[in-house]
Amino acid sequence: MLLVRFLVLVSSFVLLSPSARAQEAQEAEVSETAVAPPHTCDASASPEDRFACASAAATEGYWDDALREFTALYADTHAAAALFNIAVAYQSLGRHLESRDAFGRVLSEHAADLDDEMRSEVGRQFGIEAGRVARVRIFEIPRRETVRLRFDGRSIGVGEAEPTVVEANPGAHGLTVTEPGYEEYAWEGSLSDGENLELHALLTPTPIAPHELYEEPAFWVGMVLLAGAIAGGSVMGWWLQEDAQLDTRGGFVLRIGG
Amino acid sequence: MKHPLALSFVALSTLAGCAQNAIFELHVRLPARDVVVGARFIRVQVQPTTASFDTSFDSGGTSSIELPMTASERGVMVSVPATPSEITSGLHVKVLLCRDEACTTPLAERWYAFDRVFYTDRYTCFDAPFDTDITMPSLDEQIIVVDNCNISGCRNSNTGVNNCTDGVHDCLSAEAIREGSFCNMLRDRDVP
Repeated sequence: MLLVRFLVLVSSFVLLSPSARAQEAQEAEVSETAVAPPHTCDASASPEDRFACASAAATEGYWDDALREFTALYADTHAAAALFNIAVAYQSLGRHLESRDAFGRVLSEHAADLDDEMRSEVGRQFGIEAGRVARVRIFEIPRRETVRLRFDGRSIGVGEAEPTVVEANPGAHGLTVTEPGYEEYAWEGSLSDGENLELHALLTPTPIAPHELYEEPAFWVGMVLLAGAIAGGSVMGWWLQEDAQLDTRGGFVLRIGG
Repeated sequence: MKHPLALSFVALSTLAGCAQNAIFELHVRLPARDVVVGARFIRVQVQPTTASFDTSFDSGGTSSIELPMTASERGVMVSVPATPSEITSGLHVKVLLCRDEACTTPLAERWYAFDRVFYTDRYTCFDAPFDTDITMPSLDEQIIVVDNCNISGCRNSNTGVNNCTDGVHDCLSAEAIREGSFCNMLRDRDVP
């Protein structure tokens, strides 16, 4: 039984190999105007049937459905072919980062399940996908606890190493480096396949524009308090100073040159 | 906004701590009436050291006072306040023996030259006797230069002399007090 399942998995593995995907994608494009129901496979079916179902979704170009079904199948069977097809699905969706990682897991976690030819193919695909992952190298991020780095809205640890490296799929992305009291560093742009982008996120203190200061109610409250303190202090200071002066102690008083 | 308030408080506290002026008390011993024939009044005048004794001190105002002589000798305390700008200036004092309050022609004079009598936030004093055998000496002889160390105050003492330590006046020492016992004693003695 195990042998039969393995053979089925291997046949699907070959079926969905990247070299065959181009033709499948073209076929899918021809019928893209048709609204087809999502490919949902029966989770209670046999692994072989679920594999065939997921493969059919892939064959028809429904890569999101195929990815979902292969992911579920891999969680249940831990089959190398399912993980391989997860990597292929990611690849087809342009998610090279996840694809590289999935191919890497095939090599590291399923080496015993692969013959030399398949191992070579997986290694080749891993290399291709690794080359497509874009990298953003961010220099000069201050190593302070209050500094926050966000990539595509997701918080990322700055780490100790310089520069901070963020891997990403090709496409549009946004990056911000923020810290209270400093101006936000922001970058938005598009990364191409395998691009290595260098950024310098040196933060500068936030200048306080005078007009912004005047618009703050707290500023005017403070000014009133300050004016009151100065006026009150002056009056009280004069009073205290007068009160503190030495007085003549009776008798007669003469003023110098008075 | 707490800082200006705190600074004001500190400044006020500092201001409230000590005075910026000074008081010099000149104790004048008035002779008995007719110690010189016809003498009825003593006139006391003060001017800064920029005023020469050779000139008249009759500037009017509050720099001059006439004290009636009595049948017996007595003492009076004349207070001279100084503003902060006057602290380090010296003092010239004329004590005139007069026939009448107008004192148009003094019968006799004593001139005192003080190099320094004022010390910030301190009462100081000097006991100025008026000789009973007063005559009208020559100008040079009339000027009595009072050494700074004979200005009392700033320490408790029974005498009015030797108010310096190693040449530095006691009012300038760290142990200086605002009112010395000798000045208080002079003043209390004049109270009827």
